[in-house]
Amino acid sequence: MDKGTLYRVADIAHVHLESREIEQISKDMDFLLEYFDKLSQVDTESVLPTVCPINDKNVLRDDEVWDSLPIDEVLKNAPDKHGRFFRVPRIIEE
Amino acid sequence: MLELDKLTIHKAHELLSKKEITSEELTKALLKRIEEMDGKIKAYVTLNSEEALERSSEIDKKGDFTEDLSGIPVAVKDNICTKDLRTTCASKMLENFVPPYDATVIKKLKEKNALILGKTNLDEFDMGSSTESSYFFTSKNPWNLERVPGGSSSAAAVAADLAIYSLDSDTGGAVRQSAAYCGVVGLKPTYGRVSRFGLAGNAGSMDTIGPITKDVKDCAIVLNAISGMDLFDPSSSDTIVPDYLESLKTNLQNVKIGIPKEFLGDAVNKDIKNAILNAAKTFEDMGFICEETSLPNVEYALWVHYVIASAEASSEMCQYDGVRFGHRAQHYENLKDLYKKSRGEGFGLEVKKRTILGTYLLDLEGNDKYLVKAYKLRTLIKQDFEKAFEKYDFLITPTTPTVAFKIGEAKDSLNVNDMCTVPVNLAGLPAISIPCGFAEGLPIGLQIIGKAFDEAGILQVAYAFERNTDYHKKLIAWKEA
Repeated sequence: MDKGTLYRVADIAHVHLESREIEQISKDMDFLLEYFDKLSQVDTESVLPTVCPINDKNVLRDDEVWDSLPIDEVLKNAPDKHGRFFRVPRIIEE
Repeated sequence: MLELDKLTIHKAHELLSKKEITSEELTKALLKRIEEMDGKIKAYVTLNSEEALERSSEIDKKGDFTEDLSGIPVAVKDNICTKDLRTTCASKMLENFVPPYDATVIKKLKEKNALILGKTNLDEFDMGSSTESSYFFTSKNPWNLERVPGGSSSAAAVAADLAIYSLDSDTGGAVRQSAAYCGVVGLKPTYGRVSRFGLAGNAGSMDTIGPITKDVKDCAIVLNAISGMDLFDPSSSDTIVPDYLESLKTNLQNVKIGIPKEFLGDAVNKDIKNAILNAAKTFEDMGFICEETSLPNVEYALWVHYVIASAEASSEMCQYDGVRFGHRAQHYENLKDLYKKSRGEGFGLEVKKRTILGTYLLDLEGNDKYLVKAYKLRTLIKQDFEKAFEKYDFLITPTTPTVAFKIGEAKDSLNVNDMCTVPVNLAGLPAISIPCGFAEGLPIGLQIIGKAFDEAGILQVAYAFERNTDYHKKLIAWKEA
């Protein structure tokens, strides 16, 4: 995978990479994708994909209100919070 | 003298019921053993000593040991959420994460009065086969401390008598592979048999939770406790759950076993191949029919699994954003930068690689070319199994093509050691690994694969094998690294 593509995909995935990681991952990707290319040689023209192996049916349940976790518990692991809220950097510019 | 740490669940249950031992004594014996031995094995990421002791004395006071698991300590892989007990997925990202809720399997065990002894190590977010990508440390194989314990240290904990049994997860083989490497029993249930609610997801269409135990009977006991439909996990199945322990009493007749030749080829070590053929001979001596069969498309399974696992993992990893829980970077410029830096700092290399590869596979370019192709090949692999099961009741294979490899020896992400286990996850089938021999002084695992939801069947066959052999009784000769 060329570095331009790697940068683009890492940006979509929202993962910051250090330059030494870019070298390593780019090398590994080449190996993996080359490997994966062997898959394309197999004829699967008339085959349907299997995403879920078992129990491939839609599951429905009644729309009932259940108890949810207390807010304190939910916020317990938050790296930054304010009152009853998770705090994040400003999203909308002034 | 009775060594309490060496007990099986069923033996401990018998002694607890007769009041010959107490749960507190059992828990203390295990904690002592951990104190003595875990410095060598490094199986536990977090211990829950105080609470386990407290709970054990409460259970002793009540004195109700009707449940099979009552008062018996369990080790839990550290990607299964335990309320108020740190759950790290062996990642810096979750180094300080303390879940506010229990996974369904933990809830079920607690309802049976089980005691959580501690949390065991894994590869970071379960991406690997050796625990070497754990943020904390690499765990060791108790049979040889220079060797890996498998993709989780739960089996090492059970084999080294640091736990009576453990709960583990299996996406590409961790339960079975680590059980095989450490000479214990590990069962991966059918996809949907056991709820995954509260399991930190790795690959949603393949993740399962299963027990690792010292013998087959224990495995049936734990499976009884954790199986069944769960409203919190839409992939869980409402298929009837039989009494697995009771089903062990069934006398097996007219059993037909297929031996897929693809798992006995050149990639498989000669001693392991012989052990599997010997196992087939044991089955034949019991009156079972064993025949060679073929699963022609499993040769693609490693690639197909890696493609699907990466794609599914990348969407799982999105939840780690440094906002609601987990690691947050200290320095960032805006929200997007917060996500990027938090993941950049919180994830190790293998997790980053799979997240990025998975994103590429879900993106237009990679999707058609690789991901859809992989899901189509998965259909072919699944059909191979279906065809084999028209003729055979069970399939047997080695669990791994070699015994536990040396620490530092795994060369790349596509580990050939997973070749016998990943096809089973792709097809969603149940499989058990049981000890069936030794090579280089290390245990060999026999994998028995069954039809969907026939856990009872594979347990029966495994139990029949266990009663006719004594591989599971062989003790570890401690060897210093």
